[in-house]
Amino acid sequence: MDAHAEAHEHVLEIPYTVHPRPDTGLYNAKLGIWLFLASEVMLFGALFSSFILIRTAAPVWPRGWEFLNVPLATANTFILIASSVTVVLAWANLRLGNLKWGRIFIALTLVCALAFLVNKGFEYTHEFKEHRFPSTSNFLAIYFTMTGLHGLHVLGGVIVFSYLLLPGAKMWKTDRARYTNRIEVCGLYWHFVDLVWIFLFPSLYLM
Amino acid sequence: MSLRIFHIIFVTVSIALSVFVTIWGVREYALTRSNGALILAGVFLICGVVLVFYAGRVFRKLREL
Repeated sequence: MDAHAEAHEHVLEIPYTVHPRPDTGLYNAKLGIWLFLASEVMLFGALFSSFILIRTAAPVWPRGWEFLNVPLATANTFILIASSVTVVLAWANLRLGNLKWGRIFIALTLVCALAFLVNKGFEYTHEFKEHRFPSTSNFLAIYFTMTGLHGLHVLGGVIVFSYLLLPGAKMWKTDRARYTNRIEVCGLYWHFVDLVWIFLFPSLYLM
Repeated sequence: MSLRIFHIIFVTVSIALSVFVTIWGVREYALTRSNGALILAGVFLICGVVLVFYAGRVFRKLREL
């Protein structure tokens, strides 16, 4: 192989898409998702900090427990916990070379995410029927902002998992390890989204 | 950090949430006699127990991956 052809081959190949880089110990996508999640921590961290500051400064503060739909929120908590299990099972099955069960668990994760959004839709509809809007009070402004932003993240997960379940699964035939890594990266994002809810639920619905 | 480790952290935090809501529900019931709070405490107690069993069984298998 001449020098030109060799250089061309190097240009086409993206390094560390499957194997970890020796200096970071991570493959490209995992480094990318952690940088993204770091920015997400700052975003939600700023919102939680604002919430705490507004709440501690307020002379009186409504309790979400008394008027928000706690049973639906509880159901959503269990749905997200279950979806974190299914996404790990999807990744584990793909690592073991089992595409069929991997896709079944991706589909189950997708079903959980959609169920969460449907429940959220019912919850918002109920609040609007009771004439509770973001402009009604500081508490409701924070409630709609934080749960709305979280819901958008769930929607993002739905889009990505739908892609990986249907057209994205073609990669399994050409590059199994890379497809498995993609599921791992999405699983990391999904766990972060679930973790945010684990903090939102008691903060907004109970206390 | 791998998905395996993040999952272990997530399940641990979920167990902590279950413990918190169980205690919160019992305390709320003691203060207000709200049956809803007691039911919530019971539901999260069950959730916590299930998660502890899940952690015990699955974490070891995940380490083998």
